[in-house]
Amino acid sequence: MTEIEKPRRWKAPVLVWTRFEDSTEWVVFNPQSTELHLINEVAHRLWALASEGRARTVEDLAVALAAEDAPVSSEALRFTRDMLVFMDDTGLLQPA
Amino acid sequence: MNRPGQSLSVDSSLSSTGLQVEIGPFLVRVRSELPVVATHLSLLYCDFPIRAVPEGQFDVAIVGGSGLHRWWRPQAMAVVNGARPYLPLPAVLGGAVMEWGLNWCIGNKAHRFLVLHAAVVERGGNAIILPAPPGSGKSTLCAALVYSGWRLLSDEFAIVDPDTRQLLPSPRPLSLKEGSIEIIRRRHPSVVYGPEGHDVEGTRFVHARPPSASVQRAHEPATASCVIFPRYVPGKETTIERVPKAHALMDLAGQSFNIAYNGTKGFDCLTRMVGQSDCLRLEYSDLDDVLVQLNRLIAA
Repeated sequence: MTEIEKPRRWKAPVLVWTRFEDSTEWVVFNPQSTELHLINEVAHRLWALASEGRARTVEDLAVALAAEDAPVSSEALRFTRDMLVFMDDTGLLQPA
Repeated sequence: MNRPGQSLSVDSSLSSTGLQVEIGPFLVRVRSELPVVATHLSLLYCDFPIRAVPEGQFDVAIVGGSGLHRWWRPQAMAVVNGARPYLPLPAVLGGAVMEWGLNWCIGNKAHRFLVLHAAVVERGGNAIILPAPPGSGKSTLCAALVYSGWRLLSDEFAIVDPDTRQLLPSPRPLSLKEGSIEIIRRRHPSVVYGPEGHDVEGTRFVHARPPSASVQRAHEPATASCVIFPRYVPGKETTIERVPKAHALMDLAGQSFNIAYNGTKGFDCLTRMVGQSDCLRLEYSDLDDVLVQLNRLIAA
């Protein structure tokens, strides 16, 4: 199990989120890095779930994201893991 | 001060204490002993307020080479607010060196504004921002528009007041390169053009005098109603299609010189500007057709 897959608590730094009426994508501005990122709705939901502050594994988050009782697919797990790595790298989420 | 519209006599102040050129929100002190810079100002800045005042937010000195270079392969080098951002170039390019020095100032020092790499034109109170990388046909399109009745705010920089989200004009000589030189010369033979030259990369360029009416309205801001990403595609019919605003915001931010300096305020300003604008992608090859379509678009 890699570091990112272990149960972790995340916290959200101060970010500025924007969504326009013509799409479901989000643009997020990180004032600390002064970088902008374009992320889709699912990734935004993952960010919201992760930043709730509870200790969760990648699998816990993938299950919560799927909002289904059925086991999550390997694709969903990969997406969740890759997105957490991205958000960690870009400072959209920080280890609590 | 010279009278806009009348021929400018660039006096000896240029080579001593300098002249102050007013370009929209910027007061620029220009100094040079090179006759080519005086000619550049006389030819292309005759409509601008110019004073024999040795002050300015930006200090642009175009100096000749030292030592043997004064006589053997004379040079022109920009000294901008004390910095030397570029290598020396042949003295005949002194006018262009001044323009590039000014570009450096606006791109690197005008942090009280949000500065984007984009042309801006306006008609009927509606401004269009044309952000695009070099080679996209942005400057050709911008020149065709402004010599056909549109107002030039800038062919290089969108200057945005982050408090009001208004676009501030900084009309300056238009920079044309390679094939667009002949295209615009053929369409607009009465426009005054500076001498042709080649930059350090060997690209052929010329500067063209901005329309007098645009220079006279250099203190009249405009509101963005469209963000259009243009691309010249040889042989292609004109197509205009919508771009999701989130993508337009990302692309526009990518053209910003100083969003990092403006932080959340700059991001908020860009977001609101995109929110209030139609965001479009334009592909074209026929300038006549694209002018008709943009006139129709802005009228609607």
